Amino acid sequence: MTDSRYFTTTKKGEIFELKSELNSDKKEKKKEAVKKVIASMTVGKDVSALFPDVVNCMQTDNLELKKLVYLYLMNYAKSQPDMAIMAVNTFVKDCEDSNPLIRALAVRTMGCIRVDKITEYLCEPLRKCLKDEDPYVRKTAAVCVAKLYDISSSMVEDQGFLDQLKDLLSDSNPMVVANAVAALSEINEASVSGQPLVEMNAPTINKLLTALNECTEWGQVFILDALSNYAPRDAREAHSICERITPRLAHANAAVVLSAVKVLMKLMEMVSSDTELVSTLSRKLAPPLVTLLSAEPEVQYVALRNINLVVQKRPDILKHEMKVFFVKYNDPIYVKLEKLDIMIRLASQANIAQVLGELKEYATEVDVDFVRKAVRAIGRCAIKVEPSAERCVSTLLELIQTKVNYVVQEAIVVIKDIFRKYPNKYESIISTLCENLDTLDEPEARASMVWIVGEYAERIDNADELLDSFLEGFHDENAQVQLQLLTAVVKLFLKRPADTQELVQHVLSLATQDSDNPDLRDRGFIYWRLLSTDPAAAKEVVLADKPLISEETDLLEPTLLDELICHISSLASVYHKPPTAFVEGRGAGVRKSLPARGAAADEPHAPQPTVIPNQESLIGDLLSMDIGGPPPAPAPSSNLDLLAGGLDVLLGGGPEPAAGASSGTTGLLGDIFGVAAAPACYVSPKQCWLPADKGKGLEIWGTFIRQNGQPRMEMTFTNKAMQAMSGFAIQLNKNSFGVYPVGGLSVGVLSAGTSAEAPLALATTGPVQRMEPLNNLQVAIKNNVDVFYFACLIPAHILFTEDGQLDKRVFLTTWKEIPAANEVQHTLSNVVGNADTIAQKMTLNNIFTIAKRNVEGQDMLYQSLKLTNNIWVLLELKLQPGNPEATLSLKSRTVEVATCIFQAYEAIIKS
Amino acid sequence: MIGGLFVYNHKGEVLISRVYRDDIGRNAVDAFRVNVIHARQQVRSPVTNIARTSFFHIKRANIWLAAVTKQNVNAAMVFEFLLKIIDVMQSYFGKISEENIKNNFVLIYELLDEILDFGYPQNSDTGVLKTFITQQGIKSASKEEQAQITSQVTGQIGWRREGIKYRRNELFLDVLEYVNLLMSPQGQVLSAHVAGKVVMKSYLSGMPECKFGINDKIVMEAKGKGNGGISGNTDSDPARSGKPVVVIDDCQFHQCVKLSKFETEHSISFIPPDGEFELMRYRTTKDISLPFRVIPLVREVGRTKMEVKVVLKSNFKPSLLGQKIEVKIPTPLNTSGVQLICLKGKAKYKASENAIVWKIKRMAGMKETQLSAEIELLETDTKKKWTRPPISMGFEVPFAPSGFKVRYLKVFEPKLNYSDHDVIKWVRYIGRSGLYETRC
Amino acid sequence: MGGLFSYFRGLLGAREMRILILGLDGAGKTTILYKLQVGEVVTTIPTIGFNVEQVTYKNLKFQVWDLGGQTSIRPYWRCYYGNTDAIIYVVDSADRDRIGISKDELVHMLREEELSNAILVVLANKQDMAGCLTVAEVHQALGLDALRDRTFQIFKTSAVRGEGLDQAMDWLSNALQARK
Repeated sequence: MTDSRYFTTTKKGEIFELKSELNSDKKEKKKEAVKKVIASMTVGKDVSALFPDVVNCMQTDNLELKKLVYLYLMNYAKSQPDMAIMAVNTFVKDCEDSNPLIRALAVRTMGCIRVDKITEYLCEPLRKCLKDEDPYVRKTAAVCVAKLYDISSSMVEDQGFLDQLKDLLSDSNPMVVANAVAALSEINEASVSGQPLVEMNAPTINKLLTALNECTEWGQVFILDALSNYAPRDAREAHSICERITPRLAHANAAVVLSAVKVLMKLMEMVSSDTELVSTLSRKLAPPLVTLLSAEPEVQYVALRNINLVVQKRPDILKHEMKVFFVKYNDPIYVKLEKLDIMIRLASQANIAQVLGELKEYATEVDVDFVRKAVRAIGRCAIKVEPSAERCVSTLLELIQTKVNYVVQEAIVVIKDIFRKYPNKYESIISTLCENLDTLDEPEARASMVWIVGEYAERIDNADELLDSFLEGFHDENAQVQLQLLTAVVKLFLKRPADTQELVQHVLSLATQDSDNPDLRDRGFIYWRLLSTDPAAAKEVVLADKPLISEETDLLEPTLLDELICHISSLASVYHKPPTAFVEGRGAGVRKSLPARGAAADEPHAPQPTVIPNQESLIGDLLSMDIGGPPPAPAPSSNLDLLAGGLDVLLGGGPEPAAGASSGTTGLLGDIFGVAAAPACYVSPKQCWLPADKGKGLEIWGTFIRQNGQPRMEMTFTNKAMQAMSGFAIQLNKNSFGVYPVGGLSVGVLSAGTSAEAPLALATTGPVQRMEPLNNLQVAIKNNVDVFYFACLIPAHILFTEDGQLDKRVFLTTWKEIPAANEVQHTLSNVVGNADTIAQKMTLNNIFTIAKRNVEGQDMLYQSLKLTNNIWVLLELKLQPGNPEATLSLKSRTVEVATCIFQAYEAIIKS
Repeated sequence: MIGGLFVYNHKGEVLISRVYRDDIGRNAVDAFRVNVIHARQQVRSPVTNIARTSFFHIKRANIWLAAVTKQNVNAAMVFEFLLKIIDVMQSYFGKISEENIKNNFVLIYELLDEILDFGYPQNSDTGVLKTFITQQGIKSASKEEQAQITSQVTGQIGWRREGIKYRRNELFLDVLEYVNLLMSPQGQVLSAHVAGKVVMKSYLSGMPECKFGINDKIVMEAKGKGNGGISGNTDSDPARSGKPVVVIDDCQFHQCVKLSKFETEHSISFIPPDGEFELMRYRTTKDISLPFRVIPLVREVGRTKMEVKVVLKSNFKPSLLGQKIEVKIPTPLNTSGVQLICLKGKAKYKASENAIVWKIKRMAGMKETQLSAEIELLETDTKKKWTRPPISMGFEVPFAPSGFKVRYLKVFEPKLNYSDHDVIKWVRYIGRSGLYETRC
Repeated sequence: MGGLFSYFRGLLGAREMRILILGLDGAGKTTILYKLQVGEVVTTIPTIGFNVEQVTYKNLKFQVWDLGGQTSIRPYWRCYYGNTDAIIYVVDSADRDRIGISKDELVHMLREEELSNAILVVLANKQDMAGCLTVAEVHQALGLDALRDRTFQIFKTSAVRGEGLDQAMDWLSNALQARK
């Protein structure tokens, strides 16, 4: 008889039958019945009604039966929380069984039963098991502490389990050590305060390194991952850890290897003054990384995603290993795409011939995505390796001749970039490109082609006809094509004004009158006014030299790269996203960063390459502003100044100065023309942040606002001194919410007695440091006179994000899950308005009302909000019509934010 | 850590579902089925993120194995672990199939409970697991036996139990190499490497300590200089002694090998598991002797005809015999008929594989043979281009193409009265094709 | 001997007798169970849930369920009533304050249809304690006079001293066999 028959019972009355079988005297029959129950459970049938009967089978000397019953309990205890208590005594007994396998089984299972009433009975058995004489029981108990922490962190802290767990780090058994370190790491990451609860120190690390040599492969992974969070005191300690970890690179398990790579990559930053060590380590890292490519494809995929990071961080390590990344015909597509990515990064003058040969081969394969990527890669090679450009271009031309539609389109997109990189070199091929105009049906390819036509209008005789032909279907084009068309026609007009006046008027009217795309309209208006006011200035702006595009493309932003290096081997490294992007709440852990490079590390560091702006930032491209640059960039670029000044003149000295460079296209243009933007959040009146007597004549009034999903500082600078001020720059100190300025101050020269508005867009992904009070922000302003410091409070509501609305059910369960200790109450006074108007006001400020109820004449609003740092806050607002006092209850896993949330409520409600 | 593990059949029905973490709900089971198994397009990644939940999957023989998590887990570990589960299951009940999984579901749940705790992988060594997960109910083990089990599950030497006895102490070493090649139509080696492994079968009594010696360049040098470590001085020519050496790019060892000792002294020492296991894996890229060479010649004669000629040369000692030789020559999808002439072996056009399969049972070294084919094609709209997949081949030869040699394997068991000389040792070299392709 | 006997019984298909030990928390149920099973007084902790053991008494095999007596657990007693042959109801004779509650629980339980055929043994336990109720007082306090249609008997016991249990079990064995 085989067990598969259990999967087939599906008749009516089955539950009843099972019930009687479960109560049978015959052990075999009982066991059979439990097996059937488990099989039903597996396929998703609800067998919770059998709970008491299954529980009654718990006390048995048949281990197999016991395990099945435990499995059932783990699944259903939550749905039968009251009845589950009947299981406690058996657990307690089993935890004292003479057989260590049973003791461990009991403590392991008990930790998986998430019922409050049961949890309290878990503590005593757990305490005993943590000190059990048998290592198998201890290693199981260690993990159980992490389970308990997940159910009730306070219980773990109050009952002293953390200390017991810490003691296990010195256990004589390596597996106990490994599990203890895994549990501690998890607890540290999940810590409510964000601070690790147990700090690692040098002696502990030493013990871990000893256990590393002796424990299972998985245990080695736990230990290495924990080590990667440890910051050695000095380069010497780092050095010695490196030495003890390097042997792991020869382990057969890819996870052990990658985790070791992670630790080494991190420590290499610390010992970077010791160039010899760094180069030895670099040499040792290459072979194991290459070997990972002979693993199973799934493991290969993870390895390749990580190698991609390693190559970006330390290109030297794998620079000679190009060949191993050549694509095999039978590689799964996900492996192929990743290999290709790395090939581009490793391409250099030394290997370009081989690489190009391969890429050409790939461009004839069948998978569309892969072919496109191969074509794109050829373009990237041209840009990266100058001597190869010519061959790349001719290869691309050959590919265009194949007339395979997507190949052609992809080729045109990359050729546009090649033109930008090597001006006046390959324009001879434009005619070939133009032949394919009709076949282009993808926006990016069309936009690129239009860009080429506009940019080289003077060389293309029939440029006007070509562009005109596009205008016929203008409104059916994708927005990026429309924008490009507009710009291309204007370029054409500026180059050949004589015969294209009609065309330019046509396009301007299409853009400004018939379109409801604000970006397009605004750009149209700018051109129109520029052209009608000062064609010379227009020429200067529209036909300005474009910054050269750099060699490296698709690079990760350096701080993100550093963060991801700290997450090598993890999901973050697979997604190339920080954990906060895909992990909810506190599970994401504290943001990680690489240690600062050793002091003597003044190695010539290549200037940060700028990234080719993608299509969304085409407008930036148009105005020759460098948007892609890494923040913060306090000094305003000269281009920007020119533009701001110029526009002021154009618009007859309009009252509104230009907004900060990076407030996004809509923000920028919207502000200039006063286009109605999304309704804004509550803005408190400006306060005096820097009085003139403290600012040597400079007075600053300011406030905060959130608009279009972005927080901003709004400041007014007034010069009360006798002479002009200039050279303004701003810096924000590290703060609790990681707020930092994007772009710089737009204030140029401030003559005596005048004022200027200084809006400053803010981002919230900067370095974090806890401030007191939490929303305190320290600001430094510099001008030609001096540097001034002041502090202000960020009103919390400008940090409420637009996606702070919780689903009703989620709200309910979350509310229940957050322990009562995390609830804070506050009384709001002088409340005006009724529940509906208040809810409306709140919504404008990204406080979302999930539900409204009326209970005994009181209005209850259930609201949720999310802070930019992903802290969720749940609130209950109790209003009594006619009573100016309202009660606000707040629950959050990070309850520290309560005070500033209450302040925000006060402010909004009274607004 | 891993929040849950699901096993599905090819239809997407759940065969096994085990949830380890509270953040994974029953709906995760369905999410994976809907978004991955039943997805209309081909799966583009073994990792899928659906609504902030990450799914890792591997698919083996119609069975999907998926691990689910909501946390930033160690991805390499998750995949290694999934592969390990497959391993463990195979060693318990053989082939992974729907039927075998259904027949053993109780056992699988028991295993999953043991090897994964709260999503953390625990000891998953099959040898050890088999000592206490037996499906025999409780064998009222004595206290000593219990203690032995637990010390083995958690112990330093988790892969071997005490008290093993053999009347005849014997060991077998198989050096198994897979040659991988990518060659251009013109005969230029685009990439070539050997992935080798040493598989050991040990039937030794007690707790024997073994020392394994190979002709690795670094090891030989280190030996030549008497534990000099890596001094970077490569002047002393190891080939001086007349023995050829192999340059190993990278190697990895079974967990029984003392890695720190290898790092410092370049010696491979270990206490082996009982029975068969993979002692080491290695990779070489230099001086590989490629056992076979394929020379393709493809000519498209008009739109409905193609001529293919393939020359096969064996390139090893004439006294040795290559076996199980198979050359697979892809044909276009619109092939309607093939005429074949081959000088040796048998060749057949297999429409289901879109290829001509040419099989030769045996071929001695330094020989040459050839096949010619005339392929008739159906007229089609020429839009869909044939991409000429590479010609692949399979073979087995009785030597190690990398030049890898076993120099010695010494056995010491201080507590029992047998010495190295009493152990019967067997060594065998096999070279097989990995991905051995020639573009045409 | 016992082994051989039960072997034959097993062949004849006789099933184990199912006995429940009930009573308020702290009455001594678990102590009585293990005294019966292993003949020793073991240290016990409050039973949050249940214990079930095989007890062999004079060649008779019983499956004895000892259910926790806490207020929170009493509602689940009824899950165990099915197929029950006998109930051993344990009363802490020294707990004068709660004897009323004990009575209420007993009365409540005996009303259950599933238990209509079950034999009842009441143990007035903890007779070793100073100032405890006598067996007659317990009889009175539990209102046993009012019991109709029920085979029952009350015994005074001291589980920790092992007194009275044998008499009770003798009576119960006989009563169970007589019923066959």
